[in-house]
Amino acid sequence: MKINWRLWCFTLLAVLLVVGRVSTEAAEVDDESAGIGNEKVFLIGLSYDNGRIKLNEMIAKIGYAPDRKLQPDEGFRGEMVSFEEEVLYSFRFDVPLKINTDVIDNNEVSGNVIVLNETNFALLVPYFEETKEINIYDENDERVFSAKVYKPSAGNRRWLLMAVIGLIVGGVFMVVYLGLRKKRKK
Amino acid sequence: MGLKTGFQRFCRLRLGLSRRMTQRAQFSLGLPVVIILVVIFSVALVFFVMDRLADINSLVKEKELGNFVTSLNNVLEKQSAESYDSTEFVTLSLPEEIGSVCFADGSKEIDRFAKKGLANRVMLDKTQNLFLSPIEENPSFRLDNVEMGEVNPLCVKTRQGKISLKLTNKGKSALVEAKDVFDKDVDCVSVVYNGEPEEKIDVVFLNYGYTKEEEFAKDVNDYVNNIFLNTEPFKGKGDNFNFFRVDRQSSLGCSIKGTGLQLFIACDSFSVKNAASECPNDYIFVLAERSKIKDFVKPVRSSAFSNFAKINTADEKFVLVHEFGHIFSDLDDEYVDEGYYGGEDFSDSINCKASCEGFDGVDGIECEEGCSVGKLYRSSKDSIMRDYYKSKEFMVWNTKIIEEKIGEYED
Repeated sequence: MKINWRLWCFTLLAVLLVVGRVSTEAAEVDDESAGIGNEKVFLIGLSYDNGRIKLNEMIAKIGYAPDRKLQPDEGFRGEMVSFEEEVLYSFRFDVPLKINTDVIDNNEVSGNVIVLNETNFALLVPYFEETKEINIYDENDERVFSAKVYKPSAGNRRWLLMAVIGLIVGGVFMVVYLGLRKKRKK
Repeated sequence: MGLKTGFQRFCRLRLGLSRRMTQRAQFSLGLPVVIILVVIFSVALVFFVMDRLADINSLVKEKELGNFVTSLNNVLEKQSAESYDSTEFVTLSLPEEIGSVCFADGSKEIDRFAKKGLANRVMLDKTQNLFLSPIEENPSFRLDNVEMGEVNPLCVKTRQGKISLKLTNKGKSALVEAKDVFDKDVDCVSVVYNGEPEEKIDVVFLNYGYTKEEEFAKDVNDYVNNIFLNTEPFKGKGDNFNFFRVDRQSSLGCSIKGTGLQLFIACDSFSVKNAASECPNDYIFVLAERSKIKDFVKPVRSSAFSNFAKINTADEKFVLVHEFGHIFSDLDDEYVDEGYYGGEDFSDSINCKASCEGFDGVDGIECEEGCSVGKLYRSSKDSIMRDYYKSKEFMVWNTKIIEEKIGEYED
């Protein structure tokens, strides 16, 4: 097959131009959203099972986190660490393993305590742009959980989406081309 | 050297093509190179098309927004020219991605909890009074001839790309309100506000099972003013607390759990915290609306877990402060039920002691046998933690514990 070299140059230049334009837009959007100064939080859904902690889901959203002025003296410790390995925020918390239930029955209060070995719980913590990872340590200060914080920017997501669509379209072109070539050979 | 020749030379050098090939201005390629070229071209094409489409969408949205603001300005001007107190209902269309329209007067005090991000935006755009949600993604505008009531900001929900407003002439301007009271869009309602959230104990109420927003608001007011702030020590220390409510109905993942007569309300922690994050939220109450008749037939327990409590509204209302005793001060139940408490370790209990000496140093203690289990002692005959049906007080020991906790906030 013969291809004009000008077409190749044009294609490469087109890619460079489009990529340049998309990257600039992404940066502008980030700056704009940062200027408003909203309070953002991480909402972290965790599950506890006999000492082990696992991440269920994590989202970043605009909202409020508790101020945590009252923290247990001992218990689990959560910390958010920056890319420079600096502890941005640290707090102590108890894994909730007790449910108190109460009811009035025949004009008398009754109820019970349900003690759990495993449970799902959630933590609301302040959002820091430079957070690299969130770590949780148990009562013995052993790390029982660590999650890397990956925050793809809108630009990155768009990049990925377009690249995937491009590959699919390219794939379809190729299949059609190879099909036609095969047919011609026959 | 002309631009064209330079460009050709650049390509020749960059792409490493042989002189012979460039002289011929074409070359043969194998299948892998063809595949790569096709993929690159396709990606570039998709980039280009998507980019253009995004630009077109953005232009269309900009135009629609412009039309909306012009129309709104026109109807406000028209209504301002009508007779005093005359009313007009208008419905205007706007882009579907606009969730709500907020009117805010930057020259007056703004309820900063009502719409997240709006108070900050108003500070940045002081001359503007029309904001569109999502606040951080949309431009703001200036409307003339507009007047707002006592609610600042007033946010009105859009429905399928339309907004319905009630305009009332107030002399030289028009008072703007939501046509339907249910169209008001508020993230967080401040029920009792005593100061900055980071300096106060913030309690937020969420709703579960309510069909009417005003009933939820009424219940929250009742629980806050007639129960919580009417019970010592909260009554005397009420200015340490802020109370908020989230009217919006969210899926809290609540269900009735347990078996037989031991049914209780349980909710999904992640969903509850997600909904509560709309307001400052040191402690959370989920009010589960339940009819008294249904509850008589099938009694369901209120429950406390972590920093949130689920309240069965059919239960005696003082259950709210009982559950708060659990989540705020970690107080144990003072009623006795050996069967239920058999496996629980009470060695760290603050209010259930192994002997009466555990309460030493505090006047007015009535040491009584029985506190969660028969072998432990409680500090009073009856208290909210023992029987919130009979007693409406925490009594001396528990009051002291709660006051100490509140004191930690005051420090």
